[in-house]
Amino acid sequence: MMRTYRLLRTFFQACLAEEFEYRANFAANIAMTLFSLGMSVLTVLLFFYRSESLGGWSFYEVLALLGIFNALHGFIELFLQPNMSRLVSHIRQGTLDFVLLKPVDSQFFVSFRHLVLWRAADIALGLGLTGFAVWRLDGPPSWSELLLFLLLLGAALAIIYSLWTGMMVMSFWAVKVDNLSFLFHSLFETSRYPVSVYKGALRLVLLYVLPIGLVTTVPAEAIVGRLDLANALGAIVLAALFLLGARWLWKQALRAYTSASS
Amino acid sequence: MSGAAAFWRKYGVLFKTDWAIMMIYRSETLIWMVGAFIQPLVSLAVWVSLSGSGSIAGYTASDYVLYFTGVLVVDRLTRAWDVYELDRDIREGTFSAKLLRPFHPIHWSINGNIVYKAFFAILMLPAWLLLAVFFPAMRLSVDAGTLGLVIIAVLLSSAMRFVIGYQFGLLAFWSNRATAMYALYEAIHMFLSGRIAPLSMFPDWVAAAARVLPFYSTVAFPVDLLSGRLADTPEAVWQGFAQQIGWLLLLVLSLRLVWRAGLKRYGAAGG
Repeated sequence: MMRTYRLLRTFFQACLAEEFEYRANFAANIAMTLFSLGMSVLTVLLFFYRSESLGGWSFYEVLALLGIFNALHGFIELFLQPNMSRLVSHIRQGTLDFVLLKPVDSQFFVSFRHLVLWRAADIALGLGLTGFAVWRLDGPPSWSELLLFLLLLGAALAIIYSLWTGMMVMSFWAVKVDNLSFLFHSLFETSRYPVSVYKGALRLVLLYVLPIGLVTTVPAEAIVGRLDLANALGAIVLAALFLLGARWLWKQALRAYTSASS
Repeated sequence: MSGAAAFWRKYGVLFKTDWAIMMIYRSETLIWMVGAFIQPLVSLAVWVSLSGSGSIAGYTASDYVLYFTGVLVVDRLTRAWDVYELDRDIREGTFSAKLLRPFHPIHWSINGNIVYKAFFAILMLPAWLLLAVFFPAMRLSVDAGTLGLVIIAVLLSSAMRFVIGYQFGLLAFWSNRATAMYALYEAIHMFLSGRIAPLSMFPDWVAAAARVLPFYSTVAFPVDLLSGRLADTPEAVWQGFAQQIGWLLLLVLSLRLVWRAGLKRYGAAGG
């Protein structure tokens, strides 16, 4: 555990040094993040311009959910996206050999070695927006709400991480997975608004089969105090199952790995 | 061989080559096409949920279905993507090789657009017809003449968006953040072109601004034409076309200026 922490810290420092080589870029990226968050808030304002509620959610409740969406998106861009493209080239060029030879858990290494640190701004701004919305709703949340929120946010992160690992693993068999990550990003867009917006079977699919709708809705339900207990339990059980599944898939994939020709 | 004949022969060859390349990557192309469907479908779900069993600013749930199906098809057929390739080519210097060819680089891009959009159209239009059999909300109630006008409007919009995107790509001659600037533009376009919502959902002054600037005419105008919303207002139809043609002329003019100024600035990186 201590070792994992120390490794993460080393990855972090290496990436921080890299980031500060390009300071102007860093500032421009932050400006971009602010702009896109502003645009998504404007979109929600537009929805509420002619209506009182969206799928049974009030304006500030939707804003709280949007903040969570932004934070999770930041998480994907910070941790998952940069490592994914590298894993693909590791596999294609056979350099995964070097990773496997290191005395580290290979799944951990390929998942977290490269971080795009300025994306932390997405996470901070997203959680800031959630905090603001919750405070406007009914002041500071209670400790139990906050605790439950953090727990469910953790479950959401685990689910997203597992889905990405599942996708990464595909590259052991079919080398072109950049398309899959594009598809994931598109599907992830569906979690921008409460899952109650969707009707019938589609809602069930987004909640439990392809639990992308679940990842933002459930933590948001917890923090605005309208939690559906079934959804909360479902999220935690799914998160555990998905993590186990991801681990199993990674092991299967390593067994299938034959290195490049060299 | 006369000049014009040679020109079209080159296009014919380019078309065949690019078509063959695309067919090799057909599954990628399909994923790319389907991925772009999600955003309009999410907007559709939101508006259907907002309107419930009533209507908002003249749109009922089934109006939204028709509107966003239109947006999905029109946006897919008119969206440009050349900015990414141009940016990379100019930054990494591979643009030099393209400049040396005996055919202006823009024709390669135009041809690429034609190939992919033809492919999208071949897949999407029959799919629409098929779905319309099952979903009455997706049926069109316009005559053949209007459909002809829709095709012209989509072609003009495609040309507008192509020229806009190409100019953003040429910004790479001056800056290495051309794609970021294009992303800013796209975010505004998403809003004002009607991809998030029909313009009548917006406050009036926003809708008015979107109608004057080259936003409404790129997506919402062909969609309104297609869904029959402009059937009773022929002057709105002519206004839309006048705007498309006017903006297109202006854009082509500025493209020429940007191209000339940019080439003077261009010094290939790494030969």
